[in-house]
Amino acid sequence: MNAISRLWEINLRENRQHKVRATVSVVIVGVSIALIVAVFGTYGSVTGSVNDLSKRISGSADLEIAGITDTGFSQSLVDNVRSVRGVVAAAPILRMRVRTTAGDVLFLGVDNSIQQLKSDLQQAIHEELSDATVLANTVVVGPQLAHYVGHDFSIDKTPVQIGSVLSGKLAHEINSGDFAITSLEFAQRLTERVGTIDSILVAVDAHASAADVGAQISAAVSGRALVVDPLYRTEQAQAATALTRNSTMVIALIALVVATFLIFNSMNMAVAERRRTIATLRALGVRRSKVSRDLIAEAVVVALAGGVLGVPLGIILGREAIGTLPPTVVQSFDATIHYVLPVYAVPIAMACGIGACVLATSAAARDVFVVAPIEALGSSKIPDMETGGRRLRIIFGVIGAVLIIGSVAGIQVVESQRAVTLAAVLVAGILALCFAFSSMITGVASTLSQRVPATGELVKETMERSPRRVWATAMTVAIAIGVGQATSGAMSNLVSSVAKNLAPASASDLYVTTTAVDVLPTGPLDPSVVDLVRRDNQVRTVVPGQYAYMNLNNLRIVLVGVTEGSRAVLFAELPPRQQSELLDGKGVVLSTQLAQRLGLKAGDTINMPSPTGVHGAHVLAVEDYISLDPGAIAMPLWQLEQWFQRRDPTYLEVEVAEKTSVTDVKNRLAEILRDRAVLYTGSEAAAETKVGTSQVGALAVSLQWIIALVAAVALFNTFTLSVLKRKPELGVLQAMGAKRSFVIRLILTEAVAVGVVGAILGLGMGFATHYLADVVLSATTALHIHFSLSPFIVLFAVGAMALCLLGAIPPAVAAARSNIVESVSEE
Amino acid sequence: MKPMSPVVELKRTSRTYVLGGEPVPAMRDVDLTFEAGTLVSITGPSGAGKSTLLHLVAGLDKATSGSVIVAGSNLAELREDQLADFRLKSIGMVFQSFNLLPAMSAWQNVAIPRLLAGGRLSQAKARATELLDLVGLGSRAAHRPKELSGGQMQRVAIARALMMNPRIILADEPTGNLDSHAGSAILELLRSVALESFDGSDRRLVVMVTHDRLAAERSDRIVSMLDGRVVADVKAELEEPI
Repeated sequence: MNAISRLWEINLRENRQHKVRATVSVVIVGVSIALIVAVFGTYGSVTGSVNDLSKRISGSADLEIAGITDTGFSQSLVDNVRSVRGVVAAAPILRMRVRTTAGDVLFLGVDNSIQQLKSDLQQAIHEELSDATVLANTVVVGPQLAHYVGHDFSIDKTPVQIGSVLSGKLAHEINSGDFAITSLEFAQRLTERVGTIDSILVAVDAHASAADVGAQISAAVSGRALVVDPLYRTEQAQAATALTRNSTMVIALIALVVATFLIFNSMNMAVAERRRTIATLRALGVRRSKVSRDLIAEAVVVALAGGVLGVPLGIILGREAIGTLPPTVVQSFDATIHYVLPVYAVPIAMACGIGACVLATSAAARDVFVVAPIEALGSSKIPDMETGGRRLRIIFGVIGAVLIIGSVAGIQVVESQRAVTLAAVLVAGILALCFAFSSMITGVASTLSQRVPATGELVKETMERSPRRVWATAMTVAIAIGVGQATSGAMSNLVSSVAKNLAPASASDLYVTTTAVDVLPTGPLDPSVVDLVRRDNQVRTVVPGQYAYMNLNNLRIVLVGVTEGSRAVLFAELPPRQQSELLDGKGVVLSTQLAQRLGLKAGDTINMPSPTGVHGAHVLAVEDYISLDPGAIAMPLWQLEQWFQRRDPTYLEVEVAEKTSVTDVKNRLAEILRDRAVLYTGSEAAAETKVGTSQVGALAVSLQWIIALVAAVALFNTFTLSVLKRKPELGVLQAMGAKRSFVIRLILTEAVAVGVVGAILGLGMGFATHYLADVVLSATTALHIHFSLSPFIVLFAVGAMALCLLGAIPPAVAAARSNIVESVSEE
Repeated sequence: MKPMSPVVELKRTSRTYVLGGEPVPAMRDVDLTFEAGTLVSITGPSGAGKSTLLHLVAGLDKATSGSVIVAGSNLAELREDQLADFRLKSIGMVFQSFNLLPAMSAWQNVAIPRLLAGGRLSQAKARATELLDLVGLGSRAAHRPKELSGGQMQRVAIARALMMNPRIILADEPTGNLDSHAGSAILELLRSVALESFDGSDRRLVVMVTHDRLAAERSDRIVSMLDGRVVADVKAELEEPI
């Protein structure tokens, strides 16, 4: 019988006979694979979309001259760049997202020099560029905006005519066809940015060094712009999504660890049940190594089946997740995010799934080596196998200890963004340790069961007879409780710590900005709006401020311009002396995350490039600031306006008069200002940030419920199989006079004993993981996450019992109702 | 000879199963009475209805027609829980495969019926060890089934069947998994359980289903069945109790 026949006829036949167990294994592996594919797909789409757009615009450009902030830089620098030796082409571009009739759209302004760069954009608009009249006073749009042709269309509230719609493959592929493009001059007029550009794409002579030319250009622009790689936005996108990507990836990794464990459980029990089959094969002449290899091949089949389920599911989840990314994450990029699945996503996910299944099965397959062929000839009952030999348990104990110590110690040495993986390492270590102490765990469960009157002694005997099953059941409960408690506890602590950090900002009565509450306000407020709000007689104070994005060391960070009385997080918590120093321009405040990235601390100097040159600023303080961006710098508003040539505030903090309803003032001002401004309260702003934070947690909570469901199914399956195996024994007890209620109590006693042990283990596991998760989150968010246990923790223990009873009651009732004669007659 | 009062009465008892939509008569119009103090063998080929008869007497199955009266109780009138009580107190079951719990010692296995009656194993230890003494296994009370031979395990099973002092012992192929020497010893034990005041109590009825002709010939009465009917009922002279 060759390997494939053996696999199909023996191993996979067993799976077909135990459909529930096989399905549970496939589902849990599938979910793990789906989560990994989803994470790669979601964040791969962000970086992939940004990278794709950058490539299609930059084409053959070797360098890009980029603005330090989103206000760009003077167009006069183009001549400076063109004068540098080695520059063969320098194409200025205005590039920004604008508010149009079709919503926010990528808006590009170019001149004929773009023809010198071989790019998809250049090819797409080649004909239009050839005719100067086409782009003089009209815009050309991508296919996504085609339906606006012949209809009213405006850019920043200024009506414009759509001259034509680009067609063809390239037009559809550039930013998914979602863009508008016109001449540089017209674009500058439309957006009131005459004399300003955002980018210069530079092609370097083939015989010159791009690095040398770049250095010369840097000197030529004197720090008023940055010389970067044309694909620098990709790196920024990766940095901006690092926190959410790593956090969701760790959840996927935890799911993988849990899947590995549940499959180990499943294969462990399968090997025990197949003992006679294995003995028979051995008696027939099959080598132990072949039997082991068949088990591992079976695991690979399970993983592949999981992949068939998981990969499409992961793609669907990823597509859905793109639409739910926090707006603050996608806002900082001008690319429209479309779904891009990185080529490595499916292979890595499948490798993880196969690896998990093979690892789990290899551990279980060791038991094949203790099965003797002569067992096939025996007629008496074969005793159940221990959970694992002493040597194996010692090995697992050592591995578990190393992983646990490693995860705790790793906080100090692992780079903060990668520290999120330590939670998965801790879970793996705890599970390994639980295997090492499996004998003790089953002993405690059986001793506990003995305390139950009437049924306890019989249950103790049953549990001592099947230690493997008892341990697997207890651990299934422990996993469900542990993961649930850890994820909900950590997320709860994160959200409450975020709320605490945002408390100063939420104390503001009202905010007046140009953007919705879920988007960072970086666009300037119309001066008339500021005047109108100031003059309102129900408004007590108006504190202007600015947010701006800035390119710093390949990071896209946030600048916060503050004035006296500002409740901005980086400013409001400073002691009065430092606040005065900041407002006087004696220094800046960095967010903890940014300071860690740049290796700076209070007292150091930070060099800040700007359109007006490089400025060295004293770091007054480093403060916690919850943000999904890589970091933030607070500085006085007047200094921000000066250095970065950004005149108008982008938001107003408004305090209403005493005994005045905030909502009334908000509604009244909103009606007056109409579409010139957006108003929201401070608590609405804080709530929105909590929502953004909770979106990351939503995946963790979903995982918690998935694992609870899988655990319930696994428990149901385990108890059902246990009852089926004990059918003759239960029949004998009923033949001797045991009532149906006694039989039900027998099975429920075991369920309760296992549930108690599983709950204790799970709560312990959950506590440890929760604590470590808080420490890791503190490191990765650069925000102090205060560890606290929920008063509802007892509900997890109740949940453990509910899970066990849910899994045990149906088979218990079925067993009690079995025909006694048939049961006794079964072998 | 002293007449014995019937412990079991079957009157025109039939049992029909429905298999694949077709009625299959396993027992037809059987009239039998059994008295205490006898070892009865029920013999016949496979499918004759032997096990069906045993199951009906044990209350594990219900007759389709006719009556089954055991120890004064009409089993048809008993509910499920009452049947369980009946089996616990009035019937002792001995199985072909012994069906001992492997992780319990011999005395603990014997004490299981006391556990089912709501007590604790430890409360029944004295009685269990006494019964093991009576079956010749007093020195093996602490041993687990895997440490006992087949014959010894069946003795433990018989001791267990006597735990609640039932009036009736029902044995389904008690020597089926034993060699001839062990089987002979078991038959002798069952006979003494039936005939003697074994443990200070009244004599009992022992009904044994067996394929073994030699085993049947050691009984006081042999009831032969074929196709669900009693085709022969041979009684030997009952010995007077000592």
